[in-house]
Parts: sequence; C-alpha cells; structure tokens
Amino acid sequence: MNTSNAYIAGDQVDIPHSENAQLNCPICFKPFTTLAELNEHLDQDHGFQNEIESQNKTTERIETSQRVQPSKRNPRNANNHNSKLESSGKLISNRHWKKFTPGSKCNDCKRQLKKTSEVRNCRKCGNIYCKRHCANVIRLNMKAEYDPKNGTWYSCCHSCYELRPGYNDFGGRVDLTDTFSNTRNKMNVDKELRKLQIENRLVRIIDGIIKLYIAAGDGVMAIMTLDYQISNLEKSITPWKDDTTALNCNICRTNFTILQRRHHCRLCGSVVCDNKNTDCSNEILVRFLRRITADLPYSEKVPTSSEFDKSIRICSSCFDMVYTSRKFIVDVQSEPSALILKYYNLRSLSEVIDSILPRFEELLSNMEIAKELNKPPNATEISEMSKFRERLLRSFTSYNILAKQLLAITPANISEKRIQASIQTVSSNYIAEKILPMKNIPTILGNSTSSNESSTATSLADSEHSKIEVKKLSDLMNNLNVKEIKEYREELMVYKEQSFMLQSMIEKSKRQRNFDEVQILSQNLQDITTRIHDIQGKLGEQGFE
Amino acid sequence: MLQFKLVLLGDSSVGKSSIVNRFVKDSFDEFRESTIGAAFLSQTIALQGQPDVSVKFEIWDTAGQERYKSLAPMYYRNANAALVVYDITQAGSLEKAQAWVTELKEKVDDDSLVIYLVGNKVDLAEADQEVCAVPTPEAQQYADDNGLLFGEVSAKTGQGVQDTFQAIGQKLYDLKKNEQGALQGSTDGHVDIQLPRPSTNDSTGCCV
Repeated sequence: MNTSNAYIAGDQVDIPHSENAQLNCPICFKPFTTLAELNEHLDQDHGFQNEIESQNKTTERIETSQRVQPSKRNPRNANNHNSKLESSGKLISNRHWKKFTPGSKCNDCKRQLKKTSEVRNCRKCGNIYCKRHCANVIRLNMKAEYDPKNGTWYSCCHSCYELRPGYNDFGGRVDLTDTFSNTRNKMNVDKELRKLQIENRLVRIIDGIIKLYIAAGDGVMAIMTLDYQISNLEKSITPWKDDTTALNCNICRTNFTILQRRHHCRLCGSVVCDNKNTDCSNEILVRFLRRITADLPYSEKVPTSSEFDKSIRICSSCFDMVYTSRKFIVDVQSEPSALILKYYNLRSLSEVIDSILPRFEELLSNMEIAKELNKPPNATEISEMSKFRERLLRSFTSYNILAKQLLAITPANISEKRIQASIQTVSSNYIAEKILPMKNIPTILGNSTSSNESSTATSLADSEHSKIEVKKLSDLMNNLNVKEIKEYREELMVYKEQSFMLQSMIEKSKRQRNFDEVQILSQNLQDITTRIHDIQGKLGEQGFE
Repeated sequence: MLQFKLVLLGDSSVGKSSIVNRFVKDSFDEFRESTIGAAFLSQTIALQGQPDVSVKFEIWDTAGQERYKSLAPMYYRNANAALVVYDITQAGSLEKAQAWVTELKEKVDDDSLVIYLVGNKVDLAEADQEVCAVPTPEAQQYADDNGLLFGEVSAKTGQGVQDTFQAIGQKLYDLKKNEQGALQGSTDGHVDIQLPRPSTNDSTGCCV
C-alpha cells in the first residue's frame, strides 16, 4: 500500500503504520507520527469530522493522490452527508486556505495558536482564526463565494460575515413600500368607485324626485301619492338593506328600540338611526344637496317654487363622501382669512427669533464663563452682544405688536375665535419663555462694568434693566419697517459712493492747485459725511457691517 | 467777482451733463456715459453789456437716475440757481422737470432761488419736426405760470447754451444788486459788491 494513500472512511480507517513509514496527511502532506494524530488533523483541519460521523456505516476508499478535490468526490457519497453546516454534498474549495504553522496568530484576536486543534480557517477568506473567532456562519458556493440563495452554510470569520453584501447592524429589513402603495392605491380606487356610485345614485334620486314633483301637480291626491312614488323610486335606485336583521345602527351601533327607529340611508341603503346627538342620518333638503353638488350632471332643474321642500335621508358617511371633499377643495382654493395671514407673519417672525436666540445664548454663556474666570469681557464681545440684544428686542417688539394686531381682528366664526384664543395663549407663552435669557443680560453686563463693586451690581442691573425697557419703548416709536430700512440703505450707498467720488475730485483739484474748488468740494464732502452718519444712526443695527 | 452755486436737475439722459460740458468746455460728446452721483464743474463768465462784472458758476451736475434722487437735496439746498432740464423729444421728461420744480419750491425756502427751465435737443426738432413731443408754447406757458425763466437749447450745436447762463448770471446779478441796494439804501445805480471770500484761484495769487 502506498503511503500517500489513506483511508479515512470512518472507524475502519486502516493505515499500515506497521511498516514504520512516515504518515503524511493526504491533503496537506503534513507528517504525523501516529494515526491518531493524523485522524485528529483530518478531523479538525480538513473538516472530516462531520463526514465521519455521518459515514460511520459506509466504507469507501477515497482517492487521495494529491489533494482531496471536492469535485472529484463521489456524488453518491456526498449525498449522504448530513451535517449541520455543510449540508450539501460537495465540499467547498480550500485552495485559498492559509497554511497553519505552529506560532501562527489568530487573525482577529492575535492570539498565538500552538495546536492544530485550535485552528480554524475561515471558509470564505481562508485566513487562520482561533475557534472563537471563526464562529459565524455564511452561505457560500463551492468556489467559496458568497451566495445568499443557493449557497450552503459554512463557518466564517467575523469580518467576512460583516463584509457580505446586504449586511447591516440593525437586523433584516424588508421594504414594504410597494406593498403599501399597492394596497393604498387599491383602497383609493375602491373609494373613488364607491364615491362615483353614491354620486350617481344621488343624481338619479334627485332628478327622479324633481320629475315626479313636476308631474304630480297641485291636487290633494297627487300630493298624497307623490311621497309613495318617491319612496318607490328611492328603493328602486338604492337596494335597501333588510331592516329586520339590523339590530343596531350601522354607524353608532346603538340598539334599535321602539323609540330608536330604523331608517335607511337613501344613498347606501344601510340601516341607521336618527339620533340628533350622533348625527348618524339626517333629512337633507334636495335644494341644498343640489347646491353643494352643482358639479354633478343633473338633467332636471330645481323647481323655483318655494313649496318644493323635498328632502332625502342620508347617513353621515355618505354625506361626508358627497359634501366634505367638495368643501375641502373650496376651502383650500379660497384666500386665507386676515387672521391666518397675520398668523403666518407671526410664525415667520418667531422663526427669526428662534434662529437668533441660540447664538445670543451662546454668547451669553461664554460671557458668564468669562465672568467666573474673572476675565472682563472685551469690547467686541460686548458690542456683538448688544447688537444681538437689539435685534432680538426689535423682533420681540414686532412680535408683540403683531400679536396685538392679531387679537384686534374680529373673528369671522366660532372656529376662528378659538384659533384666535389659541394664538393668544401661544404668543404670550412664547414671549414669556423666550424673553427669559434677555433678563439675564443686565446682571452680566452690570457685573462686567462694575466687577469691583459687587454690592452695587444689583442696583446697576436694575438700572440696566430699566434701560432695556426704555429702549423697548423707543423701539416702538422708532421701529423701522423693512421698506424704510431698504430705502435708507439705498440712500446710504449713494452717499457713500458720492463721498468716495468727492474724495477723488478733491485729490484731483489739489494736484491742479485748484484750491478754490478744493474748498467747495471739501465743504460738500463734509455735508455728505454728516448725512452718512445721520443715516447710519437711524439705521442703527440694520446698517452695513 | 460774484460766485453762484448752480445745480442741474432733470430726468436721466435729457442732456444735463452735455449742457454743462458745452458751457464749460464748449465740447460735445455724442456717446457720453451717464453721470454717477454728482459732478462738479466751475466756469466764470463776463456778463454781456457789463464786461466789468464777472460771474463764477459753481455747477453741480447731478445724476438723473432715480437711484441718485436722494442726493439732489444735498445740492439744491443752498443753490442760488437751478437749471431744470427736459428733453423736448420726451414728453415724460417735462413731467419729471415739473416734479423737480415742485420739489424745489417746496423744499427751498429761499425766494431768491432762480429756476431756469431748459428744453434740450432742439437740433433734433429742427431736423425733424415730428420728433418734437413738447411744444414750445406749452413749456413756455408752464414756465410763466410758475415764474420760471425759460429757454430751449441744443447742447450738440451749442445753440442757446451761453444765452441761458448769461440770463441766469444777469438775473442773479440783478437780485444781488437789489438785495445790497436794499441793505445800503442806495438806489443810485452804484453797486458795491463784496466778494464772498477771497479767491485763491485768481491770477493774482502766488501759486499759479
């Protein structure tokens, strides 16, 4: 028997070690001294353990001249394999496996591996790992490539596990958007069809009633029979649900009694109650229905006679379907009321405040920290701070004015009145909440100006506070609106341009020794400069940086 | 020598700068760029008939564009004379000129402000009568109603430009004479005119 051949078929492995020949691993040609060692090696390193377990009844000799090539294996034999991981027949390619030499390190934890029994090769990348770090499983095909559909489960290292396409840390993700939109579209289509049906019935009933009414004329008998005819017509158009089986109202589920009578919705035919509190159904005048659904293709005209007082019982869900969507469209198209427009302004103003306030608070806290470190705030900080404060105060003032204007509007209806009341609460809360950091400044500024006289700090703070109040009042008087600011800025720009031109004109005149002109021009330049200062003063913080 | 401050007002591109240029430098530029801000020029003339009286105009030529409208008050505020220019081929420019006249009357308290209404570009109307959008009588009527001096000029040909400034100078000189006459109570025709300030630009100066 050739030493290069080995029988590895389960218990009946028969290696002729009596010849004292060196035992080589049939796969990697590693030398072994005892058969037990070789067996262990084959089990651990080449993954035969499972095969052996499953093969303990088959005795088959496997050609192992060079290496065990998975493709060369007998498929019948392979089919018997029934392991937890490598369940399919063929063996995965191991050409790419890194060879183990004693002293190799686990690729993950860098632990030195001494015994072959400790070593696992990642089936995918082939790197050497300790057992602990090769504990993940991944589906691979025979070429050791990731194959999520047809692959078999093999153990792999953590990095291969994480690097596989589609891996995420959050667990599996299923995109249900399409399912959702399909369902939703279907529902919408159903709803649209239902609406068409209801509207079609409405048109037919109303046209029919008007026809009958016109045909009936004025006679007493005619009026008597008209109601009967109308009732028949309604029933012919809408199949009424059987009211003997209906025990409770289709909408509010109240049980029917002698007092709680059954009624039929003339559009959907369902049995509903007539409770005025739940509004499950109502008799609605034909005249009104015609008016709100003027877009429907009616063929008959509403009789002009004021005696035409026919009405149809309609349940609340049908009424919603007919009326609410139409009202919504009309409401959306109509101009928002003055109240709402003002509220939009208020909102945008509060957005402005919200954007400035954090920056201001940051400055404030910086100053507080500086104060604790006994560092007097420098001039730029103070000027920046006061700039922000000024802008904030201005915004707050405008906000306040706007809120007051808003409250002065007379609400058109009850809901507007409620909206107004809510806005009032919100706006006053908003100011009360946001103005808080503003009240902190005086103490800081006060302390900064009188760091030595801490006893007078509070009184200074008070005076500073009153200054703010005064400032606020003056803001009220001198509140430039956006248009004015724009005009002033424009003017300022023109004046600055002119002052620049004058300067160059003066230079030119000086060069020409034309001192007469220089004098005139200088005089003018002075005037312009005064004017520039004037405008800058007016613009205050709104001027150019 | 008398010094007077004169300001030019009017809609854009009516020819304010061209008139001044014709007057000061006796030149005309067909492709003049529009004025930025306000330009300053000065010119001294001798009054016709009174060669011993010379008048120096300090001319502020303002830009007509709407953008520079806020600049004008700066210049007409202490002006002695205002030359309000319109373009006889543009009816709108007369309206603008009238607006300027109204503004001047409102904002300037000084009654002695001489306002001269000038219709420019008569050369165009002479070449083609059709293009004239503002008939002379209409403007004349308006000027008479509001107590303005009136004239039509052409900066291109120079027609009427010198006359205009002569008229303004004469008017200002007369006003000055009356004023001083009233002050001194002497109406014998002898006028003692004091210089507003010594001019360093005289040929008698040291640094010429």
